[in-house]
Amino acid sequence: MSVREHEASVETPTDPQAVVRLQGLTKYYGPQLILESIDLTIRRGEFVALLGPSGTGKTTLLRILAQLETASSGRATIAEHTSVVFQEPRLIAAQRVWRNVVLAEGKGQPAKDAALAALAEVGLEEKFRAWPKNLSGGEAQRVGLARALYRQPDLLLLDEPFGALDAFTRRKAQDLVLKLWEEHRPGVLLVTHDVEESLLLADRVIVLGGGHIQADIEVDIPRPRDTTSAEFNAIKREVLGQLGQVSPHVSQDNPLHRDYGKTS
Amino acid sequence: MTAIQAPVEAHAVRTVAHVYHQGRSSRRRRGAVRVPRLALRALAPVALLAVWQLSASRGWVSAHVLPSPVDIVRAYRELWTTGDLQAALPISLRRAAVGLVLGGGAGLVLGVVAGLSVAAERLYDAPLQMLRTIPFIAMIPLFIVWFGIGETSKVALITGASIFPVYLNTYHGIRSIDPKLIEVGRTFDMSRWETIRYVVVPLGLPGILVGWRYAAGVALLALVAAEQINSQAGIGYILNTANQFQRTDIILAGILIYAVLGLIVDVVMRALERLLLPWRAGHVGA
Repeated sequence: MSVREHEASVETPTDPQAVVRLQGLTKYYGPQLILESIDLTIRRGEFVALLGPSGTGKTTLLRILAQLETASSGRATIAEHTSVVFQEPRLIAAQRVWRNVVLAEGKGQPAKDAALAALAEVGLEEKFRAWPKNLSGGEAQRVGLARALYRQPDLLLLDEPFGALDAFTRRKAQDLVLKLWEEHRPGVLLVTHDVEESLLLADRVIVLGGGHIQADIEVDIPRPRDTTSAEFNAIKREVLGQLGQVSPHVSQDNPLHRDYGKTS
Repeated sequence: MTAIQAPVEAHAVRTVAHVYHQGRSSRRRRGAVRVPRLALRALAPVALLAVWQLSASRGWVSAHVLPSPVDIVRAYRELWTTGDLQAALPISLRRAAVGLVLGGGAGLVLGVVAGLSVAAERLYDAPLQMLRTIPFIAMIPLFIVWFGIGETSKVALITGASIFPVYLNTYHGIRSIDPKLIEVGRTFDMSRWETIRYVVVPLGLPGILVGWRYAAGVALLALVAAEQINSQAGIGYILNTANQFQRTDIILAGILIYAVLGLIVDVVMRALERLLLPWRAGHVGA
């Protein structure tokens, strides 16, 4: 497994199975602190959900991991083979479904066969020649999933991929993600604001609040999980309790905020 | 002191019954006369033609002012038997095509580069927008001074007129692509060139084709204007000669050729759009 280092020096011996390793990761937008000294390790085969109210930097963290943004300081080691499924399917309307899966990666018949295999895994092999505009919302999102799978990622980033789907389609999509994860065992980071969804899918639920990790909760329930079971609801209460303590703003001992307070 | 409530009367709910027995997909109303769509569309032009022919043959309008449709058909036959029409058409078409390809090509390159690069946009978008506001016909005297009265000034005028529609629509077509889709390229490790090839060009193509369709129309317009300058050949030459000999029938025949060319260009460009943009069509892909 190849990994990309974002700062040259190696201080600690790295876990060879780690697909994400963040050390003191901090992100500012101008003067505004978004993420404050995040430490996080995700191993291959681990399903992690990142939970938190909107505006707490969930998506920013995911975008840093997807290398769509850079952090202000700190250190990030990220698996080289990383794929993203966004909230919107983000398909190229001018390309047929299987071309959307392949994009620029691979050529000719082998690429097409691999794309068809990825589409078969999400149950859309028959739609391989369709145009994106003729897909339903759930189908389009599954093509996005096939596009991510086609690249055989070590790290799969999911940015609220079920957010725009209706309840029934969402449930089926969640089952599909779980099935694919069990088959391919990438490390998964799922960004969501749905507590139940995070507990249904993940091994670990991380609650982000005030720009730092508020809680890191192990979900030790065998799958398939029953949302009505006592142990499920016990963990749900714990997570909701943690979410309740989240302040919508960055903590007050942030030096920048103190500076603001003393200006007048 | 409780208010006295009026007793609620259990009156019957008034309903309207609808009974349907028209069968499948029958929109025809009882007693309505069905007029074929094509016949209705053809009605106005045919009536106009009939009134025109009638007014000419009854002598209401002098044949010198407005020759009848039949006269114009005769004019075409004359142009064809003398070989003037066959000689003129390729020359005019070549002028328009060369100007369109040169101007449209330049507009395409400028538009793509400005669409992709903010630096390029800052460099030349403002001057191009200023040039665009000049009506190209106003440039004719200048072009005659610069390029003379031969072929060069004609093609130059058509070239100049064709640049802007392609430039503007290409630039807007590319700029209106959702940045989130450009981001997909970055997410999946595509190079800049691959992003242009797989994302930008396919999604910018509708705008680019609209630009070419407008440019083709403008090129034809510029052709008409350019051929007024000392034409020694082409449809403009036929028109100028007919003008000298007061042949209104041939003048009208020439004008109609321009009109038909415009129509053909539009039909061809629309067919091209359907061919190149199958993903925008309404039908469901297999």
